[in-house]
Amino acid sequence: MEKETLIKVRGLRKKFSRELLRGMINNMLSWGPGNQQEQLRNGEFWALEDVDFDLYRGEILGVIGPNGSGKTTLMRILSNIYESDGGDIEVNGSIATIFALRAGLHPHFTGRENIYLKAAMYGLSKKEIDARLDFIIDFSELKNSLDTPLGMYSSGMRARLAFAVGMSVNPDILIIDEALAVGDIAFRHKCFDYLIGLKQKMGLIFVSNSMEKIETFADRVMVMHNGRKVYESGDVRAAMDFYAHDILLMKGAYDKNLFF
Amino acid sequence: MFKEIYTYRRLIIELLRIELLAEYKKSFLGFVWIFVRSFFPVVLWYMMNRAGLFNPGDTTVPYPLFLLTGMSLWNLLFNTYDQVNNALVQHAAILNESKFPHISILIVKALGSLFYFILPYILICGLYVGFGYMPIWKLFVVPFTLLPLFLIGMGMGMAFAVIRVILPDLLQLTDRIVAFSMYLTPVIYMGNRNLGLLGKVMRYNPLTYLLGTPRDFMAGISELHLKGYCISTVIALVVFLACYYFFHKTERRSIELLIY
Repeated sequence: MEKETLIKVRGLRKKFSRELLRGMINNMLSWGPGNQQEQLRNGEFWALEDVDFDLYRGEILGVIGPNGSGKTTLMRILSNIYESDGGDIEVNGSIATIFALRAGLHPHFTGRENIYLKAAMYGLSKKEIDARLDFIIDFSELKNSLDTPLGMYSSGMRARLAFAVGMSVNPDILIIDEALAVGDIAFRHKCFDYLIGLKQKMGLIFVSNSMEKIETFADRVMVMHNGRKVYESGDVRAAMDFYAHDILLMKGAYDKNLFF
Repeated sequence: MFKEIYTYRRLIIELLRIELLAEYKKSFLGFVWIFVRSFFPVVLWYMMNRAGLFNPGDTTVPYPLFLLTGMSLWNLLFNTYDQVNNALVQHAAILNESKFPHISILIVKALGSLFYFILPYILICGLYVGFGYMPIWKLFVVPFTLLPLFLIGMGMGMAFAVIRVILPDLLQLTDRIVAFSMYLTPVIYMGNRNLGLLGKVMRYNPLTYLLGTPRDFMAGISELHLKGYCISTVIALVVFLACYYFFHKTERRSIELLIY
């Protein structure tokens, strides 16, 4: 059976400036149609350069790379937060992203009120949130603290609440960027199990620089380095070996005796 | 734009609720502060007038009521501009981490400043009706006469929300010009007398008509500056649409420069 392509990315590019003031000037120069230049301006660098990949329904694509490799920029472009500077993105389906879990939550308001706020950020109506409320309460395991101000929650509890809201959205494409470090180990396992159960219905991009998480979770892996896709394979173990030896070891940031 | 706003209508409601309630969640006096904040400058200017420090001219209604109305209308313009132009910077974190139409945040800020205007304004209208300056039917007309003032504040706020991110130097200048223009508009004094150069500036200042004509209408003045008001309304509409276009074209690029 032919796989259903949910995201098709070809030649994706994004540039940033290294300096703030230069960035402000370059930002103004890029206003308006036709002003996006293929060449770098003074002080700019490619945060993403000619990135190609596909995401299919029913798979978990792991994206791994050292800090500054362009993972988060790529996810922000896919989520339509940033504009690209070149290349094509074809998206077939709805996208939900789970980035900074606690962004947008308000400490003076109760857990219940924050559920409505966070869910509304995914574009859900009140009726749709009402329909998901029981799931969110069950999944976050916060039934007894639901009417307590969020400021009195522990950081793990806040993350659980935000993660449960993200899980309730049921999009075609789910992007999770470093967000699975939530709650205690039992809750993390529950999240992984739930996502593995969901994957037949959706495509999932899981971004992390944790080799352990990617290895347990992903069906296919894309390795990023200096804004480029340097490796892609359905053989997760081979991708991890490449990442460990060709990227981390070369950077001197990896002690192979620690993991193997 | 309208489709997006409709999709994210629940987010606008939730953010507005937070905007209006968060500040007063830990306050015993709550919304009473809105009235205190509105009346405080009026008391100051009235005291200066009584002390003979300046002559506001022959006002259409008793000076305290004239002041109260003028300051209240000015606050509608200035607070809308001020709140809306701070919106992107204030919400830098969620704008970089969540995908939703950014104009929702600006709409929330504009509606918030409208709410802070309406509460004391209802009281002012009650005084006009109570003292016999205004028949009750005008209560339903006056809000429409204030729309251009609100639109010009929101329009400028939208444009400068982006400029605050990209070119803060320009904003420093504009903030001061907008604050200073209160003295070039008949807010705390009457403009219908020989004021030399100041009078000439006022004659060509659209705010003179957008603020003065509704106030004269409330006070029952028969000779309204309708021509000036109509021209100024067209100017307000053009400013609003031009600023919206500028915001629409530039805001996504500007998000990249938000530091949080």
